[in-house]
Amino acid sequence: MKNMKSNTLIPVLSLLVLLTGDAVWSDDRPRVIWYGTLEGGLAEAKRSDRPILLISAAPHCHSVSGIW
Amino acid sequence: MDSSYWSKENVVKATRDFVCIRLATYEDTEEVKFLANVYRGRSGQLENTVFALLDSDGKKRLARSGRSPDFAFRGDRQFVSGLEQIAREKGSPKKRFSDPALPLVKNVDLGLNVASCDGIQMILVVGEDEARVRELSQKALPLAWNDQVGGQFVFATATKVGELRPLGLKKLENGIYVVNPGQFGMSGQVVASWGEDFDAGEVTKRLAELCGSYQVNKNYQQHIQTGIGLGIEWKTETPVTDQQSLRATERARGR
Repeated sequence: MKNMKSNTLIPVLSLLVLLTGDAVWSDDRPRVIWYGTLEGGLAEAKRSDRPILLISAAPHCHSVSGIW
Repeated sequence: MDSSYWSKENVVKATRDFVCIRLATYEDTEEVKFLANVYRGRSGQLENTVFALLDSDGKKRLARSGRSPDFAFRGDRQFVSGLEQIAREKGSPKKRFSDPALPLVKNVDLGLNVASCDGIQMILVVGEDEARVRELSQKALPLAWNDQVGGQFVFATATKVGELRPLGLKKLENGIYVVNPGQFGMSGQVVASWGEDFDAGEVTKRLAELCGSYQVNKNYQQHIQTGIGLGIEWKTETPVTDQQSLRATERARGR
């Protein structure tokens, strides 16, 4: 049971860290170009016949906005 | 994977063969249904984060879905290899890089919040009606899809003056606006704008300067503590169903 919990938590925490980690984000390093709506993204995937990389995250933590 | 995972050059390069969709969980009923169909946690409900690789039909799964890439891959190198393999198998359709649409978020409010989360600026396309917004969005495509500033801005559109209220604008004028989001993404400040006759090449040059000079430094714990202290409370469009997150929020807010 303990292992199951760890197995679940580690990737979740990894995503939280990558989304929320203390960081100076504001620079001109390359970034992923994200479609921000399902409708727009699916339409583009269908049009271009490209595969989809989908992620979702809540743009708030403890209901405080401005942080993933 | 470290905090700079999504901006690692090899990862970003590999994602260019994909349509990358990043949704804000709990902000759209249809998206919530879609996400819950893609992955549910052990509770059987949608949790705060979802990760999936799907075929262009949005249905066929190309890798194990989960809450993060770690559910399917061991680290960024394997992730990149996986993306490259999928892209190779998919081939190179003619339409791949021609005339993509503007990568928009749902609305101005969410755009401000997402831009604040990312620590980047928002580009707002403003038009007096949907037809004008479509026209200006088409003209603005080079701002989103070029190597110089691609991915450096969140894009949103507005057709009503009420949508501009968080920016302190009282009049709707067609054009392109660059906005610095506030600390909590609930307001924004226009730092540059162009009328509807803007030249995309000139705007792109200015955008490169603007994003290069925009600096934000957020500390996670301080941000949360300050936000709770100031009474900041983001209201989602649909109920949060991540029980662990809900319990943590209750504890953090002393309820």
